[in-house]
Amino acid sequence: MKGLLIKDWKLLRNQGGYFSTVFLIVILIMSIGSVSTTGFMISYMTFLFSVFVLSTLSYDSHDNGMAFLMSLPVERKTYVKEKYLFAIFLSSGSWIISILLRMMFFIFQPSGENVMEFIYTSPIFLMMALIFLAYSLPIHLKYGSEKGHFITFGILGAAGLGIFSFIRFIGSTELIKLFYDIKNWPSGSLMTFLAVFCIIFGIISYGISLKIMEKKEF
Amino acid sequence: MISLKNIKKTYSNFHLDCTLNVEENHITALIGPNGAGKSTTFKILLGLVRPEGGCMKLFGKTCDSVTIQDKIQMGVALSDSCFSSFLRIKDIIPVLAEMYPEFDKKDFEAKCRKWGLPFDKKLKEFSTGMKAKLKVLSAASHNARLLILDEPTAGLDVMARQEVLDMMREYMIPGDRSILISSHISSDLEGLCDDFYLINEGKIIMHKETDVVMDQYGIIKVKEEQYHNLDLSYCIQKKREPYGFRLLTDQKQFYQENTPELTIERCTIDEVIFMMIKGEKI
Repeated sequence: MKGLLIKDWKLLRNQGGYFSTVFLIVILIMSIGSVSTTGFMISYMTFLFSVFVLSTLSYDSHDNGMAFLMSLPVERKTYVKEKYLFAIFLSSGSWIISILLRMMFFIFQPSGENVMEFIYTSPIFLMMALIFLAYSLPIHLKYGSEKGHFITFGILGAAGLGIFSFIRFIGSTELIKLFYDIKNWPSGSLMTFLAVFCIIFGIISYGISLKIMEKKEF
Repeated sequence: MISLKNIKKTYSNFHLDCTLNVEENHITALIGPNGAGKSTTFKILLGLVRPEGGCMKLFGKTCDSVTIQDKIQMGVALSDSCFSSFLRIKDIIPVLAEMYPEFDKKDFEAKCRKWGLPFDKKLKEFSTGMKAKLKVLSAASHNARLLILDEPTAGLDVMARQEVLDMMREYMIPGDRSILISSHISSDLEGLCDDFYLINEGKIIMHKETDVVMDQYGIIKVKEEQYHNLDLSYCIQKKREPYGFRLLTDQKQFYQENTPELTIERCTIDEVIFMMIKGEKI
């Protein structure tokens, strides 16, 4: 497991140029941006770092590399476990860094933003990133990176279209009411709901990935 | 070390049915034309592909009971697969050190330097020969009991090939190790292997000790009329040629003593492969 984590960490470091650029853009936009851009930049940074886990899958399978990787003293189960752990480390790490960055701007560039509200809502960005990874990882393990991207975004597109049709069907006033209902949930309920959903979805995703990997031939 | 008994695997137009053994302190080769089933056999051995039938044992254990500790005892070089090409040798070293408790970092680094492998270049910038050297070095870097090498000398020049072969001979010195190797360059195998299996269309069609083939096998070239008058008791394959027949014998001394007028050539593994696959059984 540790060997695989080292490999992925080295792959991440070898893409240093790309991530430094992302980091600089985030700092620049945070320093000149408004309150509304803060949330976007946190989610942007968390998301960009998180999807690197999917890139490691692509690097592993490039030039039939999975065959060699699986001939090393690594169990298929360990490979899956490592990818999920790396996803959690990477998402949490990038999320924490982006939060710390924002906190620094709060201190040195007071904008009148409600710090407590910011702290309360920011875990949503991490959970969204984790839910996206839990959704994408089994698809990428099953179909490989190239096909995996198409399927991942194809399903998302279809889901978006479905939601759009649903909204048209029930009418926008009903939807606004639904949003208000959620907003009026007791304090912490939405966060708890999302956290529980994230954990359950993650466990289901991990189980599916294990089955995919066990059946796979290289 | 390795025992495969009637291992079966079917793809659309290909059926593998392989039986082979690799003994301790032996270098065994698996040879055959492209698409014969060599890589599939290697992949089954490594658990990368699941067989549909048969019995497989590794270090005396059935494939279900092979553990990570057993895999640590194996060094593997595959013909078409290596570490991610986005990594560098300096990235690979800590990975190998973590995975293999007996990884000899100093020796690995020294050999990389000796073979001119750069530590700071990504593998995607390596030449075919450099990748081949790295694969063999990685496989032999951690005191494994068994090496499984699929085409380890492919893409290497003569000098580098010799260095790799010398490294394999050196690797065998302790006496409790084995190598299963496949190669298209049969001259490499002749000076290295104890025995070889010839595979064609998924089936093992020959298993011999290399010395036996080198000493006792021969190629006899005869005209049509000579062929009809020849005692064919010790000829195993024939192939029609413009001049008459080319024959493969497993008793060349018999023909050297009894028919000195015939042209009898020393047999190479390439000749054996060619005659066994392209020739007809006598």
